[in-house]
Amino acid sequence: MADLLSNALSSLVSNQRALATTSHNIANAGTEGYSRQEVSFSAQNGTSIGGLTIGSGVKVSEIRRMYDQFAISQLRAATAASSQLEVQHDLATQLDNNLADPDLGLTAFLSQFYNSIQDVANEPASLSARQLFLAEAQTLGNRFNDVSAQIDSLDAEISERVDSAVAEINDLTSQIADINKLLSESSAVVGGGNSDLLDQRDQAILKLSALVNISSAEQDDGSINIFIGRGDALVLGGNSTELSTIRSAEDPARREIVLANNTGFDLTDSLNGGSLGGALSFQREIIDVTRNELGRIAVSVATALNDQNNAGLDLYGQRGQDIFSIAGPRVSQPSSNTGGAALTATITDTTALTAQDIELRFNGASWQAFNQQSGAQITGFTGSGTVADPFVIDGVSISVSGAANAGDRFYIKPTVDAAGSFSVVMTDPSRIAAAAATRSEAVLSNTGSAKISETLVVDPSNPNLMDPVSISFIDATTYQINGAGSFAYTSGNPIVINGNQVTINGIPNAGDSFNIAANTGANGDNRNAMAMAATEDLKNLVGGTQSINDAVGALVGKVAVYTRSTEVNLQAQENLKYLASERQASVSGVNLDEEAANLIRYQQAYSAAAQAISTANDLFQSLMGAFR
Amino acid sequence: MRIASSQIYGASIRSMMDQQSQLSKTQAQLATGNRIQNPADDPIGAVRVQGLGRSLERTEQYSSNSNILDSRLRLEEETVGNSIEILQRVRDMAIQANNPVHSEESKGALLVQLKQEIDSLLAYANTQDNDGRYIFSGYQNAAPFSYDSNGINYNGDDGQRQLLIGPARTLGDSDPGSKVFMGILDGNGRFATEPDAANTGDAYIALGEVVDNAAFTGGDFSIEFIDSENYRLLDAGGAVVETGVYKAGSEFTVAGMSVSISGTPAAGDQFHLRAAQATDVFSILDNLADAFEIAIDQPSARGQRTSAINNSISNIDQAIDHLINTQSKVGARMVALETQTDINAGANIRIQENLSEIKDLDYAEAISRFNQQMAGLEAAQSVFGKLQNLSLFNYL
Repeated sequence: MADLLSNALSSLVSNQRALATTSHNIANAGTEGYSRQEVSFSAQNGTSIGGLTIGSGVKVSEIRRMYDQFAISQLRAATAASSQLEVQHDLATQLDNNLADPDLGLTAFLSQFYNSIQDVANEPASLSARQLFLAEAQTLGNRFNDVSAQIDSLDAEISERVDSAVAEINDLTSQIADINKLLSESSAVVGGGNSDLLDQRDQAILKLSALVNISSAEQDDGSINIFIGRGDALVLGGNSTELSTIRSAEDPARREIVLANNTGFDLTDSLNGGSLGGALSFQREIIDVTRNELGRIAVSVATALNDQNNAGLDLYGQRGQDIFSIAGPRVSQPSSNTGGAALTATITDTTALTAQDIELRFNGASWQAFNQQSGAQITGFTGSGTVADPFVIDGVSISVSGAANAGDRFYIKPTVDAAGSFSVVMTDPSRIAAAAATRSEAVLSNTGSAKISETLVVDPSNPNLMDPVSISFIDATTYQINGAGSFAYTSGNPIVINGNQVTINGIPNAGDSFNIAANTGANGDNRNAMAMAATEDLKNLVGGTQSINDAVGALVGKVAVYTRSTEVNLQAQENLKYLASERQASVSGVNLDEEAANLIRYQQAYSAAAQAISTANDLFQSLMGAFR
Repeated sequence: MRIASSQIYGASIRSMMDQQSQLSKTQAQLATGNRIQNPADDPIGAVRVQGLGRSLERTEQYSSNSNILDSRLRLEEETVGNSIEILQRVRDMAIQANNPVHSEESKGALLVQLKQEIDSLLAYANTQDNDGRYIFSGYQNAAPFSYDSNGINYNGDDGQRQLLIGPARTLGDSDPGSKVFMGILDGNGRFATEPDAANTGDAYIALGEVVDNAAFTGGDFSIEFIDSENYRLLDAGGAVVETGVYKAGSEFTVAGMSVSISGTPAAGDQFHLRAAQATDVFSILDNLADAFEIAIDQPSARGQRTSAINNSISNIDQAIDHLINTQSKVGARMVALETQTDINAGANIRIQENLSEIKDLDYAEAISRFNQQMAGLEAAQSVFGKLQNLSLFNYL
């Protein structure tokens, strides 16, 4: 009877515990990261009486935390990948819409701008057409500035994201370290007592994975060590190491991520995955390249039109001036440089310009150039670095003054500031040089059938370009220049004098002559304006393979393809993450129906145990009644 | 497989969110009619749309350039046509004036009329377009033709603007005045004949023609009459090339040139042959006016006048040819312009078709997709509603 009572009691207690666990499960059905707990019963060892073993009830042997380590690791990896893509997609979509909007994208503004040049060409003397051209130039400039400012603000947003991600990482790693400490102190406690702490830690690690790729290693005492990048420890047992951000030596607007206890070592490039890795890679792969590419387009537009305008004559009859102003390459050096060298860089060849940045290093004997994005060495550049013979690297001429020490380095970003600084400096519409610098004429008394073409300025920088020249024929096959010399004439062959090219066709009579002269008073001439309009189609970019519109298309396409691919990958990765979380939930999640069934099961067992006690009581009462 | 209760909610919500986001995308497509909402929807298509958009705007710019050019060419053609009419009227006047039965009075009236025609011609040569630009001044913006004490002056230059009317296709704007009204070779276009100013007889010389191209040298010759019946032919150096007997209307042939002299020469009269020189319509008409003014009371004057008027008539013929030549060149440009306008219009339609193919929404497909997605969302919502009620706790 005593056995009956104690057995029933053990069942009461065990089922009470089971009911408590079930209610804990029900209570946490909606708790994020909660792993359901399951009670295991085991029979207590019986007592032997006269060769018989009689069972002595039940006990709760274990409250198990239901989880699958593999599913958890998979979920972490999928989370890191999908939150990386989410950030990239989010940032890329912003940039994509900015660059390619049919009303706001660069193409629309370039189109209006180049059309306005044609309007000037149609009506070169019209001040209103010229005014419109300057207004369109201004609008184009504003658009370059706007797009550049939007890239800058995206860049700033990324830096903020980096800062807040680093703060979150620090918060999570200290949580993990704290839990490690609690776990190692209580590791002697057996059973499910630590289940909720483990859940919290797993949840913190999952959140950490959403921020950056990590690797983890579980220790014997139950604590977990966390590493990032190339194996730098963030959590070791109960201790965590903070990350911090410092200004980059290369670019003060940029952040470098370092360990708080070792600020000299830049971790930035080794971090990947998660929203931090996504933001950093977007900055490296897209922001830098887009800004440089945009700058290169701005440089090409400005240079082509400035050069062409300088080649012509304005309404005042003077040589044209610059229409646009644009910032040159940005040169910077880290504070670690010890020498006194200073670099001056100018863009001298827009065709050879790339969208990459250049790093120059002095090794004590000579200068070496590297592509800053890829790190690859640039070989085969020319020049000795003096002002007279500068280094010419990718269309940029660089001269060095002062003495550098071994190990000194310089960063040259050729087009980084171009789009942001693109501005119109011309304010007087009469200054637009629509007319060519020179014109040709046939002397009115000519009697032969020979005709001279218009002059084509092939070398605007020729100092004698606008000097008067006469080409006079002494007979049908020989001509003199300015009354001297004797040159053989072939109909249709170009003649180049003082940077002007003309072609004479037909048969001249002796005494016929043609003049080349400064194009004074020619406000009806549109030849230079036509040449400006033609710059739209010149393949002046990327080694002479792309026109301005090609380059804009390539840029828009690049960002759109990037956005598209992050979108597609994000969808795939979200699905993977969903599957991993489904798998994890199917092991660890609470099913309320199951818990309801358990509730009934344990409740019934409890009632049965109570009934057994009642039976024991009845037995006892019967026994007592026998003595009454 | 075990299912956690949270999975049931999670899966339902996920499916509803998916359907909703697809639905909103389709809705945006239907609202704008654009298949591509963001470039990322179709990167290649989006870049193509940008490129085609520029092509379209360009083609529209070409048509606006063409319209400007068309109106300018029309103006030039009309002006040149009017100038030709003037020259033809003047030619008729010259023929009238050469008729010996005409009285001095009617000749005076002809002179007044001629001066008026010269003024009109000058006005045509200084025509301005709607924007006030002189169409025949080349690149210059000044009245191209003006008179001073030495006669006509050209203030323009040889410039001829080109306008962009198609991809890499330019066409000339109006011709410079130096090419339209000037550069006319006088005489018969090869050589000119004229009486010596000191002639006293009434003989006059005809226009002549080149009969032997190979022999033509362009050198100067003179025919000098020893008396009214004997002549000698001199070259530029004064050497005698030929002597002979003159009969009125007889032909002289030298160095490939053939020319006839009529009337009665006086002893010592000379006629000159020289290579054609470039002249201009105004000088031609001024010379005619000068000829009109010669009084014909003397035989010498009659000869001078007849020769001068004959010369003017041939020069006017040269000028008319020159202007007709210009007119037909303008006409050819107008034809080319019209062809290019058609090409541009065709290109415009083609580009728009391409654009529409890439960016426009297929409404039938989109609406059926929309309905399908809506049905999907409704199904997901109804499933969620039903699942939500399923709980064992309801039976406890």
